[in-house]
Amino acid sequence: MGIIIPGVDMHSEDRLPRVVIAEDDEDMRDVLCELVAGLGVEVASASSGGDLILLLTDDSPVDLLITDVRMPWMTGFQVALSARNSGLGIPIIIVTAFPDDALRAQVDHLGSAVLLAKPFRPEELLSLVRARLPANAATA
Amino acid sequence: MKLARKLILSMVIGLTVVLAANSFYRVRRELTAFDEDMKQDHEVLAQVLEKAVTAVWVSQGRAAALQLIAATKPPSQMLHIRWVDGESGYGQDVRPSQLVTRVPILAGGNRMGFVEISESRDFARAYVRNTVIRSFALTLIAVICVGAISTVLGIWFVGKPIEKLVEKAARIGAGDVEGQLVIRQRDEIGELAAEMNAMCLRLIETRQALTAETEERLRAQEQVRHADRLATVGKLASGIAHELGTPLGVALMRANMIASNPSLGRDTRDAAHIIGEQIDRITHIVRQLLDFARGRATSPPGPLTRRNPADLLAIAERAVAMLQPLAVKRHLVIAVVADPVLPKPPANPEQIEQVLVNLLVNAIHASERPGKVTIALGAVEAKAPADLTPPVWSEGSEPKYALISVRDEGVGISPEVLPRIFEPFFTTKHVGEGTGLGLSVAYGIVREHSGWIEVASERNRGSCFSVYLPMDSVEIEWGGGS
Repeated sequence: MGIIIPGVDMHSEDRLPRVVIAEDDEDMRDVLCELVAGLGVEVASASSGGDLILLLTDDSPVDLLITDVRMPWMTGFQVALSARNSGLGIPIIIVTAFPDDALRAQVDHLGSAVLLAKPFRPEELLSLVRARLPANAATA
Repeated sequence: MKLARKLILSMVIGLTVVLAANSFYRVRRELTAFDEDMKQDHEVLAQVLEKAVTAVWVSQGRAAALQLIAATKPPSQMLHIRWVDGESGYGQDVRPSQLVTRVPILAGGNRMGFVEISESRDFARAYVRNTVIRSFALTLIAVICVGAISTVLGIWFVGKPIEKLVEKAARIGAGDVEGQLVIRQRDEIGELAAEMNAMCLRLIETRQALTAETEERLRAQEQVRHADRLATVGKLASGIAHELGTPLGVALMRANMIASNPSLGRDTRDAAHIIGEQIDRITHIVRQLLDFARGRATSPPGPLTRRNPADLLAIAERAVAMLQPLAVKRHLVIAVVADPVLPKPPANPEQIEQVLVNLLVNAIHASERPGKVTIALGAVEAKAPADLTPPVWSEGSEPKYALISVRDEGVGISPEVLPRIFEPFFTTKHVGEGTGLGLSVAYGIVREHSGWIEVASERNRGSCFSVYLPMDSVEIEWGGGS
């Protein structure tokens, strides 16, 4: 399947980087959003695979995707894979509580994607995010 | 009745019949010949007497003739000659007790009377009696001799060996197949004994094969049971760990956020820091549980998860470097012994290092006195445990495994504890010394590599953990796993 993503790479240099976070657990989603927002970036969140597709296909630019794997409707990995196949080249951080070798290999295959196993420390996530934001992005 | 006795009896009866028949016919034949001889003697004597008496009767008269007869001396005392008047009774007459021959005397054409020669047949009867007695005695002697000889030979060649055979057969029937039957005879009995021995050997072989197979099956069952138990525990552990992942993550991050918020008071931030540290500890345990449970990942290893050949020596050196301070503190020497040509199994080097570190920590903790911990690296041909699906080896190649063993000179593991050492949270260490997850994690990682760990241990002599990692196998297409 493919997702049509209009003009995702056409962001201008003077806007804030935009990070999309998909996570079905509300508390987790909130804390992730707060943490990442603390880096001084714009954050959009989704609570299911369907929401995530909608977020990725609207007109706003996306610089980084952080997604959980197990979510209702469609797994974060499936969404990421479809987006990649449709030409979305942004870095992706896949968060999971089930980090087996098969998933690791699939994530490696995805390209410019990294797997982060739950539970993780805030610094682990933040350093991954920092390393993947555009060079001139603001940091907290 | 016993076989030997039957044979002997039938032989004796046969012999008796033959000897008796032989005696009977011989006696009859000889008796007939004796009678014939006697008759011929009588005829010759009768002819001579007839001529002589007739001549005397014609020339000198009756008195002279009768005197001649009376004066004739018979050739044997048994023989009697006399003159009988009258005309009847001519010829020979065989009576049971005697033979009587009468010859007529003619003078001038008239019959004057006849000369009678009679002979007793007592001698013949005595001869028959003697012969019968002799034959009987002979038969008796023969029967005794033959009986004795055949009894001895029968017992020697038939009775004893058959007895041995019967006893052996009974023993076999009762299940005792040990021991060889010694019968040195080149006959049917010898052949039977040889066959019986061969049969026993085959039975022993079959029994040994059966015993080995049963043991093998029992061991396999035990391995499967053990793996099943660990798998159940692993599922439980991974279920808990997965469920804990998100809430722990949330709590950890919140605590860190509070701790690093400068607008809050110092006490509050310190408390949040401690909460964060504690959650960190829980997180560490949960990660170890996940490492243990990963050996039971639902998706089979596929081409996507192909691992690169791992440098075992480099891994071992890194692990030793990490644990050197702990070993020195406990006055232990860690030695690495590696084969000149080391195998390079496809493996995740960080995970194998973790396995080695966990095994080393375990070895160091087991060593209560100064000594040595030896890491040996090499290759070995081995048979995978029953619960493990072995990799598919290319045709003709031997199943090869890389072997990493860690041997200590510590306290050893007691037999009751041994089956449980890979269970998560099972520990014999003091509280605070270990979580009881080290060996579980090693087990999980090795299983994930399609390998296994064997443990040999002797009380107060030390333990040896052997890690078997499969070498490259034929690539299998599992289809798209996700």
